[in-house]
Amino acid sequence: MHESGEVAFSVRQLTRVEGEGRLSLTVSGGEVTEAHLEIFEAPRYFERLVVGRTPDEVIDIVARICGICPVAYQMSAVHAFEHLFDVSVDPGVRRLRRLFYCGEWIESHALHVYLLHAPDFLGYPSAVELAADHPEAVERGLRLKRLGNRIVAILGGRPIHPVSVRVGGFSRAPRRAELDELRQALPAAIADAQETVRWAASLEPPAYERQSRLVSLRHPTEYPMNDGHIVSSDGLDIAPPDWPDAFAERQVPWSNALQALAHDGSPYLLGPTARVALAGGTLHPLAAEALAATGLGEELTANVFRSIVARAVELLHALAEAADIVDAYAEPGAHLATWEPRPGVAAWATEAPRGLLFHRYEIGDNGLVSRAQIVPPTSQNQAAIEHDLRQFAPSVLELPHAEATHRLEQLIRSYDPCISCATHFLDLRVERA
Amino acid sequence: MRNVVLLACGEPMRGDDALALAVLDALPPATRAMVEVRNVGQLMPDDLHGLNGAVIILDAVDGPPPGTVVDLPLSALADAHDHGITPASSHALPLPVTLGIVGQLPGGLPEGRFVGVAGSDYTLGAPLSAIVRDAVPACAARVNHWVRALVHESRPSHVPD
Repeated sequence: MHESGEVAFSVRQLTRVEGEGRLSLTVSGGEVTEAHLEIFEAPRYFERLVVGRTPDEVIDIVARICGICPVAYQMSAVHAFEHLFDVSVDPGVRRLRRLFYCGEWIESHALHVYLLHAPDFLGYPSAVELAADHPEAVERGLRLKRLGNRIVAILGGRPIHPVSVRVGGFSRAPRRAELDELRQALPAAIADAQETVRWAASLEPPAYERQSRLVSLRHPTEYPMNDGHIVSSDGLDIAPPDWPDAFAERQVPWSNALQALAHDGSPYLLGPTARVALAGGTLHPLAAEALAATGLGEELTANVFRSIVARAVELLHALAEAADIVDAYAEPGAHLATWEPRPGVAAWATEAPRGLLFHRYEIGDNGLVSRAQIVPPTSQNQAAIEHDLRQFAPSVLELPHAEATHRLEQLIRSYDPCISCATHFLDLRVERA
Repeated sequence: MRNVVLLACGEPMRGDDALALAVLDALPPATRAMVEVRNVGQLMPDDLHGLNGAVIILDAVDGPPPGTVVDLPLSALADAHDHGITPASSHALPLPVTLGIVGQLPGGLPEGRFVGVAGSDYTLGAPLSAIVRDAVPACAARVNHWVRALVHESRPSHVPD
């Protein structure tokens, strides 16, 4: 405790999140006056790495930003370029891209639900202990994750950092027979996902309620992935390229990740909870039915710890939609449309597993990228995480340090933060003699 | 001959994290032909669980002096941190946790080895550091040895665990 009466609380290394981060709280008079999610993972320079590159090179480079959600980076980039270049893709390509995204959501959500977040609810320090007591649950999660990876590998050439996405489509579309293994595996996986929803809904969350400003894509007929408008729980409705009209990034001294806020300075929440709340009407009937059976529709948005249920519902949605796409699959008439680059601003947002992912590229007369902005969901959720930490922390700070740490980490993990995605190159100054 | 899977971990764009691919390139073609190579990037439990046969995990490590070749049985990797050795790739789940999860599940941890080299520079866009590059042949020799030993299900007496 400081002479001022301030108490500093620190979690030096956050566990079970992707990347390296730290939490620091300053408490004064029982109130949390500062909550900093400190992302100290080294800057990664991707927004500079893509400068001078062709659009197709950019798509391969940005896939390297994340080993968990590379498809999201490829999808936001390819849609941005196709929007600027006025490229019309074959309807079959559009369906394949949704299947591709389903694969990523499946592997990412299965990882988070079973191996990163569930141990918190059951009182285990890690998934090792969870596996010892509930091997059937962990095996279910691994089966689902493996199938998600397999979908990405079939469409993308490999499960991590796929290589098939091109402006105009795919470098290669799978033959119908290549999807047979998915057609056979998906019914059992859907049953596993239905059980996952029931299991996640049975996990008792800590008591904590608040109202967040929710933001996601919404499409009239499809659950949001690649298309739609950016909407919010308080009436925002803009096209994906117009993200900068509503939001902006800022640099904070305690983090290598930029933070995004609404222009009025308010934080907002992205991800499965926001999507289910704002676009739940387009959930696959199986997912909607499973969500209704939990009876937690309202509580999902009030208690951030219930995000595990929203994630499980989306896991089921992704598997059910994948099954529909695979069952009806016919090879696209043209797997790769022709296109010509043109100068201008290419911008788009798609829905990564963790939430809205915005890309903006300036293309020069030579057809190469001259400037880039990549705004990952974790950068956008950071301010909401810190806001929730300030609200929630006073209820746990009287607990023993280890228990308080556990509860605060559980809160942070509710957002499924991907710290590796969020680190940015901020400002490099070189002084030369 | 037993099935042997070589799981190559690491991000090839990040300096010494490209160790696994460099070692694969240094393996004799005949050895490469004996194993199934999977470039997994980040090793996850589903890469190991239910795996048919033996496994060799290849990754950069932190802890020992740069350039040191590390060769451990998989079963010892969970405790490697106690000996100052940490696999260097940025796994969402730390490698010992990944192994611990698989070890708890039916079928348990497959038999196998962890082979790696202590890195010194993981800068994005950097090549392998000179000291790690110099250690690649020795690391490849260890992998070559274990591929042949595991394929034939015999462990040469001169190689200690």
